[in-house]
Amino acid sequence: MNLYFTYRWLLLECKREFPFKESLRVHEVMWATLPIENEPPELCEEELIPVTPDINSPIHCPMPLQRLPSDDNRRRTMSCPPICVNEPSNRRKFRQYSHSVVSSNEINLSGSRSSSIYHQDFCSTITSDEQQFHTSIRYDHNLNSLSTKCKQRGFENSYSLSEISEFDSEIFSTNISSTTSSQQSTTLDWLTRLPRDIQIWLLDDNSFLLFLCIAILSAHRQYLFKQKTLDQQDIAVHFDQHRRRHSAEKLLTVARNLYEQYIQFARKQRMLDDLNLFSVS
Amino acid sequence: MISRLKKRWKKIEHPNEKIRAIMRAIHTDVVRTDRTFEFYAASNNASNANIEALFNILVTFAVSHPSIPYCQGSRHLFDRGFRPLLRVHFVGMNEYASTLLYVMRDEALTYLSFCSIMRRIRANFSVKGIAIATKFQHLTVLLRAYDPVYWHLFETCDAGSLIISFSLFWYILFCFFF
Repeated sequence: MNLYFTYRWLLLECKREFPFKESLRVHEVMWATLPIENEPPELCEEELIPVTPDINSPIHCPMPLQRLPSDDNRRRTMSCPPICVNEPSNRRKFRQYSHSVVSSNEINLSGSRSSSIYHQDFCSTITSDEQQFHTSIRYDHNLNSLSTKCKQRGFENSYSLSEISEFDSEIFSTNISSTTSSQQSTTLDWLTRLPRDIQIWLLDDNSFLLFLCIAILSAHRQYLFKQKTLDQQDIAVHFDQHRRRHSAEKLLTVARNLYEQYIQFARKQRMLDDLNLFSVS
Repeated sequence: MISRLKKRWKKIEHPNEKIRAIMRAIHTDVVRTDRTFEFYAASNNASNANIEALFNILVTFAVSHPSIPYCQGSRHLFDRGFRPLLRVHFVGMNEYASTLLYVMRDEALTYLSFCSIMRRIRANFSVKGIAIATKFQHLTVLLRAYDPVYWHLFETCDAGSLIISFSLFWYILFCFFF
């Protein structure tokens, strides 16, 4: 089975599925989930289209051209997920790195052997982490030289706040979170059906888009189930008829919910992995 | 900088066959982009200034970034014969540029944002379509997890459509030759 009819959704990030004005809103929401890049874009590639040399010569390289800093970064812009992040040791290294950058007081994770000290340290950084989060110091352009790690750090930092809070609520205070989690667990069983190596999802360059696609698909669920005879062509035609006609408000709500559920699940999973690793080491 | 880049292709557009080909391709796209929206709406004779700006941006980008072939989208699928299944218009970079131009209202600023956004999504426009294939795969896994029943519906559709798409293929061949 292929979902070729979603090709346009994926390529244009669902722009054609909504009326023009609403697509602006959809794009704004979607692009807000993406990490911020510090590097300015390259306005012109170095190699020029081969032209006749007499015309080309006076205007060759009018200004110093912007180049992508490294091969690594260039590869990052392609959407193939870097494998190294799946390795737990690297992940921990990144986290440690991010915390040492963000929090003002030095935390030495490797130094704190017993897990209780680790927990305390973790919680003590919440406040400083939060303050720095709002002042958004980490987007400081002085850190440009670390651009290869920027994206990693962006991910880690954007999750770290609620990650800690969830971690906190689950392990230390059991009374409040237990009720809410039991309520949620009925609706969240789809998350458990995800394959185990779900880390790749976070590294898809635009995972919110996928959830938006799911939202659109599920909006048409009832109609498609009513049809007696249905082939792929019919589905494609049906979705094509609805282009520019979806309601952004409803679908965004659905997609946001799914995205939130997923992010929280992934975060919890990663916390557990890290804790396991820590206890093993 | 941007006006210089623009001047560069404006100067050499006439002797260079490649650039003229790019311009033709972009022109056919640009006049179709978001026509229903009044910002880009134009009567047949008078050309819209916004459409012209869009054209300039796209040509400047295509000329300045020869490693990214200008893509009207779905070309590679079209080549593989999926066109009848897709039933999409040729869509591509012009869609992104039109959104940005509407928000920025300035040719140079739009070009800057367009370069920035293309850095992120350039893989999607590559001819081989690996990035898009990965996205397809991700979406499939996600849908299968989210709603297995719904997924099953698609799967049963696919079983039938295999024959249909095959017959469509022969039908197209038939039309092509006769």
